[in-house]
Order: sequence, then structure tokens, then C-alpha cells
Amino acid sequence: MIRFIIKRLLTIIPMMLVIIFIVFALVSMSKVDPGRMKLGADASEEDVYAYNESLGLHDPLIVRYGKYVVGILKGDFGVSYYYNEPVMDIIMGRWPYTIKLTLLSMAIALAAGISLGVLSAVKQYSILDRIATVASMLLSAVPTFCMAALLVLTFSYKFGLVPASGVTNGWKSWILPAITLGISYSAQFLRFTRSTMLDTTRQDYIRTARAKGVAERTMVWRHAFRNALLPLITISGTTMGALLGGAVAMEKVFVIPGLGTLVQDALNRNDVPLVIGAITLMAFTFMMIMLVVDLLYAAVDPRIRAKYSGGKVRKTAKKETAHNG
Amino acid sequence: MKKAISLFLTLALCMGLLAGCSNSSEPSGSSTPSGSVEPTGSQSGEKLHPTLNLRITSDITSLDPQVTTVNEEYCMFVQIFEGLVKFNGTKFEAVPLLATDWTISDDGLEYVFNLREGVKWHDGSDFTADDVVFTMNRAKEMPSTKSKAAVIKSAEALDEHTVKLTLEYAYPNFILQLASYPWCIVSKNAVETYGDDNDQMLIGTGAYKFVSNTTGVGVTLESNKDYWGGEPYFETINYKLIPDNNTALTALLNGEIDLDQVTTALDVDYVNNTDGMTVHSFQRTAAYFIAFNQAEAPLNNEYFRKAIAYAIDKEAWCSLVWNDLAVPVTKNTMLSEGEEGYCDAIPTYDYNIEKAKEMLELSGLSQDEMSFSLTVSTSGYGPALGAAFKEAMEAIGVNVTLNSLESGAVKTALFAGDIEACAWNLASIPYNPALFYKLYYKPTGYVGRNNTIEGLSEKIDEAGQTYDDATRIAMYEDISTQVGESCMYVPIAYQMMNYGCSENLQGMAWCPSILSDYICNWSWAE
Repeated sequence: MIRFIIKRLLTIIPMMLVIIFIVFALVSMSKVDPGRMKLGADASEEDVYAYNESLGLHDPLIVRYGKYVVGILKGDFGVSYYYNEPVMDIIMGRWPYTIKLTLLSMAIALAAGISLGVLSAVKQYSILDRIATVASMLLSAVPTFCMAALLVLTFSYKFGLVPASGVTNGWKSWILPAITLGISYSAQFLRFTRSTMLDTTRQDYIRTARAKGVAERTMVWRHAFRNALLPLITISGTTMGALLGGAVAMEKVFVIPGLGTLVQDALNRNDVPLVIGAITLMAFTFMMIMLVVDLLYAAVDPRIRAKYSGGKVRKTAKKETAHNG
Repeated sequence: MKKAISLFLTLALCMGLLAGCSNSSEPSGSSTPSGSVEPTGSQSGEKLHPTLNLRITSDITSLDPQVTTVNEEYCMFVQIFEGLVKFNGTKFEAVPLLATDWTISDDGLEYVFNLREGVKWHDGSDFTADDVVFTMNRAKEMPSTKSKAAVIKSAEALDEHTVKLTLEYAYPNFILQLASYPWCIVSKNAVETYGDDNDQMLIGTGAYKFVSNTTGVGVTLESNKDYWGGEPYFETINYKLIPDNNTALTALLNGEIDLDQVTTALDVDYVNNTDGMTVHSFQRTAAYFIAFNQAEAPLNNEYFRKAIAYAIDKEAWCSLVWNDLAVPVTKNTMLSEGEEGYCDAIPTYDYNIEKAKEMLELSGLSQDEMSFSLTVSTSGYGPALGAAFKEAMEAIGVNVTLNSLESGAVKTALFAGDIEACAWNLASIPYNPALFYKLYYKPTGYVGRNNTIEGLSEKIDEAGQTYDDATRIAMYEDISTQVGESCMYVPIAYQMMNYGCSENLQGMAWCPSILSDYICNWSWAE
């Protein structure tokens, strides 16, 4: 298992180098003039040229890429053209908001989606099942920004219960954004959970467990749900990865200074170092999440755990066979 | 192993649930974060509304007067810093601010300013003539301001409260120029101690002190209780970052912000009809226009440009594009009546499809050659303007490709000469020669950077050094007429600005050209 983890971590390095190069090359192709942007319309061409020269913009692409990679190894992701501050400082200033929104939304989505999905599957064709199914379809059909606008108009403007935007009102600031995203993703989790639970509960071993008199709750949660977990882990991982990349629409509507809006604004402003730094961090985070997903697979499914550890056993057996002739 | 992972996941989920319960929501910003500061009733005395909440649309990167080039930053740092003079509310005249009076030599080369006594910097030190000298010399060095400051030959402190500025040449309207933003006086001591363009050097003489700038959240200022003009009404100003217009409107109606620009006719009506709210409207001296790259075909063809001008129905566009929140330009200039250079001789290109087609014939261009791209901004009125323009050109058989960029990128492309045509809007400067340099000068003017009018830049230079008002004005009128006749650009409409706010908010007097005001003059009706 340790070997598996180390192997996965090592594969991240070349993948990151490729991703950084692709992003670097694509973003660098855009015509960027940070000198003019910073110094304004009245600055002379000489001053603008000198400013761009100081940023290394006149070096060949491969030289700039090499310097950038060397910088990353030293923890230096460059300086933002727009903010004129270290890229990592800016990103780390926004990261907590994105993490907070992600965790709150995922908590709501998982709690609501899984519990309703399991109940819906166990009580198939009941009123609860039908309500949950229709609700999940409706919630999937409504775009999140529409739902956000409706919730703001109702709970903020009409009833004045929560602020419409911003993060300066303590915990109240997070209610609407977390609920909006959480409800949207809960519909997805509900449908997935219901589907996999329905498959699992029809398996022979479940019938056997029932026949042996296992309590219904134990049968559902310990046996059926556990086997339905794998696809749920996958979708949770990819959803979390997407959210950590920044839910741009929610951040715009609720004015949350997260990573999504940071990257979008940086792209609009041709703020190359900030774009590259943010995308690098997002790519790395996504890979780490995928590693955690794989480890969770191993935690849940002993067959996968054995497979991850299996290489060592087979080689040992081969060595013994060779030694014994 | 299995139990350890399960335990870890359970703890992570609990931490996620508990994360939302935290009351602290301030990030690590570039300086001490404070967010919204609302003094309690006991601290604020009898004031009903001691905190003013305003909106900004993008992060503030600099409040250094000799560095920043962004309008939102201008509007903010004038609350912190002051110049020798300021614009008189909505009028194009300069009145005393840090200078109480001044004399101008007969040849227009020497200006002697008597400075206001008893003025303190926010750190408690005295404002003196040395600060003015330092600022003038600094403006001559800083890349963003040195072209404007090049007119100053020297600055000299005659005594602690008297300063003499000597110009390279007699510069018309120099006093009006000093009223604009880059000339706000900075503290010599603060800049020498803390350096350029950082939060610590933001020590001014203004009615408000800088408190914090938090990226992604906003800026906070607090009142200067020792302000020489008297303590302002509002104790705190919070500039909240709200990029989205719809979110901002909801925040305005909710009372989360106290004032905001209202951008659609529907919203103007809605705010006006909301109890306790009102909308202040005024025409701005800023116009939307189509600029051309006159160095390249087909837009180097004067008849082709005139055809474009005749094909634009400015009145209809004011409804279609700007939802009746714009006023059509009449003459082919973005100058407003009363500005130097505006005159009756400037031609008019009223909407006339037949005339447009006639101009196309005179251009001698083939159908294939009548094709170009228009760069528009992705935000604001850019998309609607682009669509309307494309449709108008199709009506006369001209093919237009739309190229959408973020507004900052549009500006960059305009300056780099990377565009064929560009839709943009610009505030005019209420004085010359700066105005004509900004608009028509080659190669730095917004619309004239690659113009083909022979000798235009020399005429602008000559007019800029003509001190006699009547002679200078006649020269500018001649230039404006020539620019109009060549159809260098097509101005379309003047912006109408609409600010929604509570009926209790009083004292606003925006300068139409600069779109800013001094918040120390505002108050909240009790």
C-alpha cells in the first residue's frame, strides 16, 4: 500500500510539468502588455518596455518556462501583473473561502443526497421515493445561478433573513451559497445513491442476509450501502475537485472572494502568472483528491486493497519458487 | 488501517460542518483586515447612519496618486489625498483646497501658491511646502505621470507655506490640470520612509484615513477627526467589492450598500418607485465611440469611415443599446458644448442609409474589401453595442466580425494598435491641452494614435503652447473641425449616469467629467 502511494505521488511530478507547460504555452500566446496595463495610457513606450523587460517578457518562451519551473521548486510562483503581489499570497488569501464553500456544500449535498437516496431505494415506489425522484429531477433541471437568484430574492430581499452578498456577516454569509450549491449537488448524489442501492439490494447476498434474519438497518447500512459506496466515492471526488476549482457562478452572485472568480478575473486581465499559478494549484489539488479517492476505494473494498498490496506478495512467491528451484 | 481512514473521514466531515459556524470571516489581505466596521450607537453619538457603504467593481491595487490609473481608485484616493486645488463641484473651474490662493506671472511661466496653514497629515505631522515640492518632483519621475509633469521645470519652497512652480512653457489651464487626480499631494516623509505604492505610504491630508484593503472583499476608510475642513459626517466608509450588477442592485435595495450606479432603465424606474429611494441622473462628459485603426485598409479610407458614420442611427441606439440611458451625440466630436474646441463648424453625420451607400461608392472599395473586425468589451454595453453595429453595417453591405475581450484587454489592444476598429467609451478631460493630447495626438491619443491627418500633432502642440485664450480656442476649434471632417472616429452617445441611493443621502455633486465627489461634503438626513 505504501509503495502504491509513493508510486502515485511520483507520477504526479511529470504530469504537473506537462500541465504547467501546456498552460504556460497557451496563456503566453495571448498578447499581454502588463507594462501598459500598470503604467497607464500616459506612460512612454520606453517606460512600458522597461517594465515588461523587468518581468522577463522579452525572453523566449522556453527560457521563461525554465525560469518559472525553477522558481516553483523554490516556492516562487511569480508576481501578479495586476496586483503586483506574489501569486501564492493572493491564491492563499482566496483559498480558505473556496475550501469553506466546498466543505459546507459537500456536507449538505452528501447528508441530504445519501440519506434520501438510501431511503428512496429502500422504500422504492413509496410516496417518499416519488417525491425524492421528482425533487431531484427538478433540482437538476434548475441552473444553480437561477436557484441562487431565487433564494436571494426570497430570503434576503423579501424576508431580510440573510445577507444578499459578501462574507463580512459571519456565519450568515454562508447560508445561501452553501444551501444553493449543496441542494444542486444533493440531487445528483440522491440519484446515484438510489440507483446503486437498488442494484445492491437485489443481490443474492442481501437476500441471504435477510433470510438469515439480519436486522434491516444492519443489512442496509453495513452490507448494501457499503457496496454501493464505490461509485459514490468517485462522484464525490470529482465533485469536490470541481468545487475546489471554484464555483464561479456562486462566487459571482454571492460575492465570495474565492479561487473561481480569481482565475476568471485573471484570465480576463491577461494576468499570466496568476492564471498559471492558480491552474497549477487546482491541477495538483485535483490529483491529490483522486489519490484520496483511490485510498478510500482500498478502505472500503478489501479486493482493491489486496490488489494494491498484491504486487509484493506475488514477487515474494516468485522469489521463493526460484530459490527452491 | 481501515478504521484509521474511517475515523479520519468522520473527523474531516465534522470539521467541514463546524467550519461554517466560525464568526471570523476575514482573510489574510494585504494589510490589517477589518471588513465592515459599524460603530455602535454609543460610539457614534447621535448619528443615525455613521457608516457609508459604497460599491467597487474590482479589486483596488493601488491608491498611490502618482501610480494608479484606474477611475475607481481615483474616486477613492481623493478622499485620502488632496491637491492644491479642486474642481468646483459640477463646474469646470478650480477652487482652493490645500492652496488658499495663487498668483500667475504675466508670461504664464511662474505660479506662486500660498498654502493652507494648520493642515496635518494623518500621522500628525505638518503639511508644508516641502511636501508639494516633493510631489511635483515625484510626478516628474513616476512613469504614469511624468508626461503630464514634464511641463514643470522646477518646484521651489519659498517658505514653509509658499511654493513656486516654474513651467517649461506657458501652459494654458495649468490650474485646472492641478485639480485632477495625479496632482494630489503626498507626504514626503511617508514616501521616503515606506517607499512607493504600498499601504503604509497612504498618509494624506484628506477627510478620510486609509484603514485596510482586503483583496476580494473591499477597502475601509475612517474619518479624519482632525480634518482642517471639519470632521466629516460619515465615520467609516466601506467600499464593498460587488462585481455583479444584479447582486449590487439587491444589495442597494437591501440597504447593504447606500449608493450605486443603476445601469438599466428598468432598474432606474424600480429604484425610483421604491419607498425611501431615489435616483440622481446627470449627463456625463464621456461618450461612447467607435475608434478606427487608420493605418490599415479599409479604415484608412475616409469615405469608408464616413459611410460607417452615416449608417449608425444614434437615436435608435440610445434606446436599443443603452436603454434610454444615453443622449445621442449631434456633432462628430465627443466634446461637449462649453469645452474648448467645440464649435458649430464641426460636421454632423446624421443617420442616412442612402448617404452611407453614396460614401461607399466614393470609397472605391470592392465588396470583399469592405470587411473588418470590431473589438468590443465583454462587459457593460459592449455586447449590445457590437450586435447593433454589426447589424447596421450589414444594412449597407459591410461585413463586420466581432471580437470580444475583457475591458482591460480592449484598452490594451487599442493602445497596442492591435485592433481594426474598437468600441470604447471615454471621459473627456475638462481642460486643454490635456484633452486634445488624450484624444487626437499621434501616437498616444485614444482615437488619433495612427491618424493620417497631416500636421495634426504639430497643430495640437502649437495650440498647447498658446497661452492667449482666444487664439488657443480658435486653434482647437479648427482642429476639432478638421478631425470631424476626416471622420477620424464616430462618437455615438453621451453617457447618462444614474445613481440610486436612499433619499436620506445628501450633498452629492459629481464632477461630470471625472465622476467623483468629496464624501466629506455628504451627509445623512436625520
